Amino acid sequence: MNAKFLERVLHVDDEADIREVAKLALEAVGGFTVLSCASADDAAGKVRAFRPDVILLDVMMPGMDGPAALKMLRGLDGLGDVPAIFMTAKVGADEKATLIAHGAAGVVAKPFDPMTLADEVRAIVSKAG
Amino acid sequence: MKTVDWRAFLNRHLAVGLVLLGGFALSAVTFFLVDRFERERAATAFEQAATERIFAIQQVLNANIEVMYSIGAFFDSSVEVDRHEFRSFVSPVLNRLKSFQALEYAPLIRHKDRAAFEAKVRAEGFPDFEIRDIGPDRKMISAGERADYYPLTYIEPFKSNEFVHGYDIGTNPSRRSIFRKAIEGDEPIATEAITLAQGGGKIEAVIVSHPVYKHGTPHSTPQERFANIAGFAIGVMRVDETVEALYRAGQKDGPFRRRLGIDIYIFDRDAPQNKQLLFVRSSRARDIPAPHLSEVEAREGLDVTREFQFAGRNWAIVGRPADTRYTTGNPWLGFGVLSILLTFTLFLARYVYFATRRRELVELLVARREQELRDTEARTTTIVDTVAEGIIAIDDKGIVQSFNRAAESIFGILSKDIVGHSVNALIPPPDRAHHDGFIKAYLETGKKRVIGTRREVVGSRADGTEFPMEIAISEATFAGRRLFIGIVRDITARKRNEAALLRRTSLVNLMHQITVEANDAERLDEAIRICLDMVCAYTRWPVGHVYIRQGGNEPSMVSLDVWHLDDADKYAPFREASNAVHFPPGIGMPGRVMISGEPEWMADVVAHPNFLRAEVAGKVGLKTGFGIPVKIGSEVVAVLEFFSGADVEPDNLLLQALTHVGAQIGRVIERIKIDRLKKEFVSTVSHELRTPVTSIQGALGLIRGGAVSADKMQGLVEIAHKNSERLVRLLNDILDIEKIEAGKMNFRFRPVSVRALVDEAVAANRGYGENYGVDIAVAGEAPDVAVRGDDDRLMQVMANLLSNAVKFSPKGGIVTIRAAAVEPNRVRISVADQGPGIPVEFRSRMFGKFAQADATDARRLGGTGLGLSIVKLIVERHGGAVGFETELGQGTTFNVDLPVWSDDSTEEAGKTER
Repeated sequence: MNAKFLERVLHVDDEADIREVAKLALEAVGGFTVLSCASADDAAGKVRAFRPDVILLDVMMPGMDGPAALKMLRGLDGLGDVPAIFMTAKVGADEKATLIAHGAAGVVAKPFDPMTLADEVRAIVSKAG
Repeated sequence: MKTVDWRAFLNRHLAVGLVLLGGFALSAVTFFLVDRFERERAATAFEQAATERIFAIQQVLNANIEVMYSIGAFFDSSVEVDRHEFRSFVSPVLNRLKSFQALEYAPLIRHKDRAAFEAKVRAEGFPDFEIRDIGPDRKMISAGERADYYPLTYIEPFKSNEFVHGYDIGTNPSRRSIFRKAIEGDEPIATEAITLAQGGGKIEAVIVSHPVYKHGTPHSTPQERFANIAGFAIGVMRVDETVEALYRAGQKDGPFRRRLGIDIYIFDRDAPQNKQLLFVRSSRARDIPAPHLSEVEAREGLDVTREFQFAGRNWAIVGRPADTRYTTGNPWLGFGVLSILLTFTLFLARYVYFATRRRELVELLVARREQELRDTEARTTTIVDTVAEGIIAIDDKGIVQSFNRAAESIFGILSKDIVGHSVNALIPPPDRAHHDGFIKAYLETGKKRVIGTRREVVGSRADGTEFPMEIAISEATFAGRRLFIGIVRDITARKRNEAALLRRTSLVNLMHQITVEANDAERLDEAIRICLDMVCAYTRWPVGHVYIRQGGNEPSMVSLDVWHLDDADKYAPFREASNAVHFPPGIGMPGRVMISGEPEWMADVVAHPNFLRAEVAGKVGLKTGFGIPVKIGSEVVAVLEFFSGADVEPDNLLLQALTHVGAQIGRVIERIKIDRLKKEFVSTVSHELRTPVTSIQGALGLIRGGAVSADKMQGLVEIAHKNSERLVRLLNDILDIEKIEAGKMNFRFRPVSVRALVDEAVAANRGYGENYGVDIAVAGEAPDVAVRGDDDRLMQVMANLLSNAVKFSPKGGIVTIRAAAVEPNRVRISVADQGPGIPVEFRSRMFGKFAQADATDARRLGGTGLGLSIVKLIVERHGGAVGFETELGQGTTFNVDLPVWSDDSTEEAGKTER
């Protein structure tokens, strides 16, 4: 998928402040349209209408965690091959590999630079593509 | 002891006594014998000497008689003997013999011839001569007229005897009877001793008269002799002079030698008593009056008496011992012998005494030595019999010579049944030839192959059983015989112990290996697999498996699907069956072990009534089963199970080892769990720190990058600020936990008033509650007691609990705090909220770190996820406890129980606890 077609980002994170900051970074700096959800369940209800081009998932979340959320979302119509990127504060090599193995295109480490987050997302998606 | 002394005393003194008694008796007897012999000898000597002397005296007296005879013969042979002839005849005799005072001739003169006779004599040169008598005044007077006269006519020597010249010796009637007697017997007849007229009455003599007949006349018959008598030859014999002459002559030797010690008495028996003693030669003569004859005769003694006829008279010569030499002999001889014998006796007694003593000592020594020997023997026997080792002596033929008690019990055979028999009975048949060979080889070559060494061999008991034994053989020569002495020890137990030790060692090694390997393992399944493999390799059990406890409140044993299988295909059905089944507590073997916490052994799993997998186990050929608990503390967290197709009966050692393996795995599990918790904690802390930092960095990055408009900027600043505060709280909490857990937090315990604590807590947190629209109220009245506490830390506890309660309470809700005394010496402070209650699945993790039922809520409410952990840690450091009661939709109450301050706590007041 071409990077220029990346417009709509589904961002799932249980931290409200991080959702706020990420939304601003992706929209104001990167020009994305962002749907922020506090949990996978929250996202599941809204994602069909949104049709994201890329999914950003926090890993450590209460209830359904990142990988579980991805699995669930991938099972939804139209989301089977939407590239997903995990955002995590645990950034060890093992963890990164484990997350990639779950079908993610890449991993963004927390804390992230809000000014380059969008570029990073695009780079991961294009590289994966 | 006493009797022994007596016997010794008797032994000793009896002998000495006997010797003394015998010695004394012998001495006495010998003394008496010697004395008697000496007396006899002395008597004999005396008799001999006395007889000799008496005989000599008799001879010399007889010689005097012979003189009288010879004078008679002289007259007989001459017609007429004139005065000159008489003189010439007798002078030589008188010169030779001093025996005679005088020798005289008195012719018979008839009165009618008197005058002629007197005239004739006067003519011969004696003018005054006349026949005379002795007058009343002892002066010679002219003899009166008588029929006949016997005047002393010839007198030799004349000079000293002239006084009696002419004296008529026939005037005396006694003299007349003597003359008659002399004529009758034609022999000299003596008078008794008479005092001579000459010599002043001092000289005594015996007058011997011998008849002279007229020449040529017959005088064969008394009548003829009376008819023809011519006169008498008269000998005035001095007995004293006669005998003294002998003494004088024989002083040097012979019967009269001096100091012969013999007194001589001569008696005339026929004389009147006062005239009887004729002669005395006595050592006592001067002092002691001479004895009378009767006295001599009455006396018993050694006296030698010789009776003889002397001139018609019965004379006796008596020899009498002059001193004791003849009466007692030499008394010193007896005493000498006696003293010698007594001395000898004493010496002998002394010798016997010392010999007896010596013998006694020797006997004592011998007895002592014998006793010592017996003691030594008894001791040796006792030692030999009481030593634990069997001691067997054999000779060079292999014949048993001695067999001690220990050997009896080792070999199960009595000494009497083996001594004298071949030692082969103690050796298993296959080894007998070796044994004989050893002895033979040694005897032939002298090479000590077995002697002096300690070897382990096999022994054979009487019942034929064999057993391992250790034997040390030494060689000895006893009484010229060569003996081999074997010290035997039954080492069955030692061998068993060695085997056990070996096994124990190998088990210890196994456990050590398992420990090392399991500790090295990073993952639980890996550690368990290593254990299973090692145990099975050691025990040769084909199947090993583990069940892990799962489920918090309703636990059950679930297969981890970690197996050791010797044959995967063969045991696949059992594996599948085991993996498929869960065992709640008490159910099946894993369930039972989970409850009991003890290893379990099933001799036959197929027949076991409560082994759920019996059927499939039987199908794959399993028989024996073991369940080994894996514990952390007292909690069984897993059960190892092993199976064998064979009958295995475990001993304590194996079960202990397996239990140890279980414990080891428990530690591994604990370690792995702790490692995981640590990793998780670090990971969680990292995550929890990064989360606010992400917000802060994101917000500040946007502002700094100029990516947001001014209206958005305030919100971002707010985000950054809020998260920086959260970050600080988080760091504080993390540091608190770290400090408490590391024991670095200082607690200053002192009495803390519960009422004040509650009031202060309410006051401090009321504002926080107001922020959330929640009121904090005190229920009831707090008891007026003090608890033992650090008031700052207790305030922290109260703040955490109250803020939690406020955060989870709905707006307008009320948080209630109350304090009450519970159980003796404890005070409970409760904080109740009206929140949603705690989800069931979260209740067990309530006090865990970063444990939040709903992160979204928690973060919304600004918690760090560490508050309750801190509460728990602090309360527990106070010696208290924290718990909760909750119901979904009804709220939650946290209870903090604290110990009441007591006097016992006083000592710790003000003390800093770390």
